[in-house]
Amino acid sequence: MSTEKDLSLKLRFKRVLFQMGYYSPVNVQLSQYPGSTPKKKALTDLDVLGLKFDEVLTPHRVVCDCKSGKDISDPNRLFWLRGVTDYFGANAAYFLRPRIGGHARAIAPKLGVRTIDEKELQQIETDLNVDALPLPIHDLGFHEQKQSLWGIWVPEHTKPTSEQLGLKKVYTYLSYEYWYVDQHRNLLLLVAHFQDIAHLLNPNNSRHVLLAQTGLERFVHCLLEMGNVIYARGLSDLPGNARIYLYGGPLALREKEKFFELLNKVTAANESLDPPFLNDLLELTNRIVHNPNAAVDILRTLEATYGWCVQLGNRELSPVFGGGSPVGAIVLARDAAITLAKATGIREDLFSHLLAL
Amino acid sequence: MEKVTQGLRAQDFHEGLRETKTFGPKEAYFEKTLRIGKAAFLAMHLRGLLYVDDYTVLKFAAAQLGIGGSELPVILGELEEIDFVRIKRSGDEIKRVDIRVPEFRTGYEELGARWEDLKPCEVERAGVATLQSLMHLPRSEADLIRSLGMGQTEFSMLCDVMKDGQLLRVQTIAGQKIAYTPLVVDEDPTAYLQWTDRFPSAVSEALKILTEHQGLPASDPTISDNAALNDAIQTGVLMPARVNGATGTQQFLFAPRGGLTPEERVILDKARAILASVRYGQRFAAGRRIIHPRAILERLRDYKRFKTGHPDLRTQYSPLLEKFVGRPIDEGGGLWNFQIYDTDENMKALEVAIDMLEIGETPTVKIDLAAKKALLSPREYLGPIPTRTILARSITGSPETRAEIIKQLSAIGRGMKVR
Repeated sequence: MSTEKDLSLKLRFKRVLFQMGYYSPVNVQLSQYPGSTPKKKALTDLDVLGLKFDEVLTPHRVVCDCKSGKDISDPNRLFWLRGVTDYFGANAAYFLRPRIGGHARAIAPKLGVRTIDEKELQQIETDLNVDALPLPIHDLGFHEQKQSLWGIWVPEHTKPTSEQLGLKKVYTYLSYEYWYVDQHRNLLLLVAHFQDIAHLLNPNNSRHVLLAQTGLERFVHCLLEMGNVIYARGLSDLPGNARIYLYGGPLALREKEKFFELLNKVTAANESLDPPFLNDLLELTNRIVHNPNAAVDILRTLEATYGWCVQLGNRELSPVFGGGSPVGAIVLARDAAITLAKATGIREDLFSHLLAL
Repeated sequence: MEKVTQGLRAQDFHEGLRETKTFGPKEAYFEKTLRIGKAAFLAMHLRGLLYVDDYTVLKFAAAQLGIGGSELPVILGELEEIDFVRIKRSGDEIKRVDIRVPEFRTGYEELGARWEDLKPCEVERAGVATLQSLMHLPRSEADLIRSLGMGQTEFSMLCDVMKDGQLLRVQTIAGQKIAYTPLVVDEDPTAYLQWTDRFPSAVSEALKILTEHQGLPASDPTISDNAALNDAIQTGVLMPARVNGATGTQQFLFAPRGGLTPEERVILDKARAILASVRYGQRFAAGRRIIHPRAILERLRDYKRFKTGHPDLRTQYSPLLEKFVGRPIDEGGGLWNFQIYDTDENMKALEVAIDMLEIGETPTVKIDLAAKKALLSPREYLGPIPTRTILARSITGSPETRAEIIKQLSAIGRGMKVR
């Protein structure tokens, strides 16, 4: 059961991760839709997920479990965290508790988990000089302000409209399904979801701005993950390797190409396997891959832009980054916003704060 | 005419005329074509950059490309219109230019579409159409005037501008005035015109084949069974690149390309040698053949050598040794790799080879290394030493053109409206 104290720990660790260069969604929930039932089945949730990509787009993922309650078995949590670490392919796992018992300390190294108690967390915060960060990531009110805009709002005893139900699908996708489906499918799925609701999104609606912003963050995450695979397969054929990734491997790609070939033969249509926006995605991925120093900071720049500019109304991002504006990352983030808008048909001015940087 | 072609020809106009002084008909009748040509030329140099946040540096580089400081905002505006750049402004001031020039396609389609959107005037439309037509086949001057349906004055102005831009020449062959474009003549225009005279109906198709299949082997039936192309090889109109590889000697043909400076000609020769070597691997390798030639060229551009050695590489890439593009490296066990010398000129040659492979034409051969350098090292002042000294040419108008200029000026002087 998550408490406000847990949340405080999560946000403090999120701030630490930000200083370490990570983009970190909190309360990442894993759910699935078993069989034919439309009802979502919750699997588990992760308190903080840290994501960072280095200059050759190798992903660095950390998972974190934050617990402050008393009736919790630390060893149980550690074993659970080990499983979550494997699920996300994380490089590191952190277990945060105000106090950590000797049993847990003994078993943690064997499970590859780091334990951090209150005192150690304070020390890390001091060492990383987190108080110098003007972005109040750790502030509960700041977090709640953002959370209050997440999801559709339906007055009591009323039914959601069809438009709200349309939006809800995208919220559900971004909150739950995104972390569950195979990563290579997410890029095209995400674009398709936003295409469906493009006509509903209004830049003057704060909820819609947050929805688009979250979509953009996931979109960039997808591109960086794809960049990682392209690097692994070889940069000399970026478009070819991107297609292999997006369509689920060389065999799946051949099958899909064959399917379209047959479809066109049978229907006398001229449908292409590649969606029309694929070229723009490839061009953007190419710019990301070839500008590594800028690429490493896009996700964090997006997170900072929303908090610092949209929530707090600032116009310059440089204070968040110690006085130096991450121009390259801003340019790539803007590029991603423009590309997402073009691919999905959503309005560019949903990202007006980013585009003004 | 296809949009890609319109974009390419607009760039030809700018490249041809960039070293000429201001001249009434050029400014009045070719404004939109030159604007798009300049935009295309600038885009080609910006490609691969993420952003430029020093506008002064951009002005330096643009000036090197024949784009004045005062017209740069207009040219950037055109690129912004087709989403090749996004400009961050603060009031009237340009603070940063974010670059979005595509790399996996040439971008000439968008540029050509923009040229159409700008509604170019009749004269510039005729100019672009004439250039495109002459790239396929020389024509008699009389026939050209007839087909364009223009008055003598307009035609004279068109010719004056195009002649001074090295886009058009007229030569008398067998008493007839023949118009051709030097852009498609590799060496000797007389040999070229005589060839087109011998095969008037086959030349256009022959040039199309060569443009669409740059580096086609001479032994390919498309060429060996084509009398016009065989004649062109024998009479020196076409200069095949020869590769003596593992399975014997082969010759590879390229679409002729003229209007180049000596430095650009060297780069084109290198690019042809590179592509010929890759084509050999595609068609005549002793072992496994090359399936993705573009990937090979990009590999050499990005990593300067092959991932693994191969017994054939030493002979297959030997033409590149002669042209100082690179050298073979013995990896032992009978395997050879090839090391590309990492010079600006060689990298440009690889880009040109990729262009030839992808679009058939060679716009990147005109990339200005000094401008590219200025954009890549923004803090460095480029004095006149590394850049070629260029003296602007004055366009000498024909009597008809001069008369028209006087007529227009007189009308302005009298306060009368002409046209």
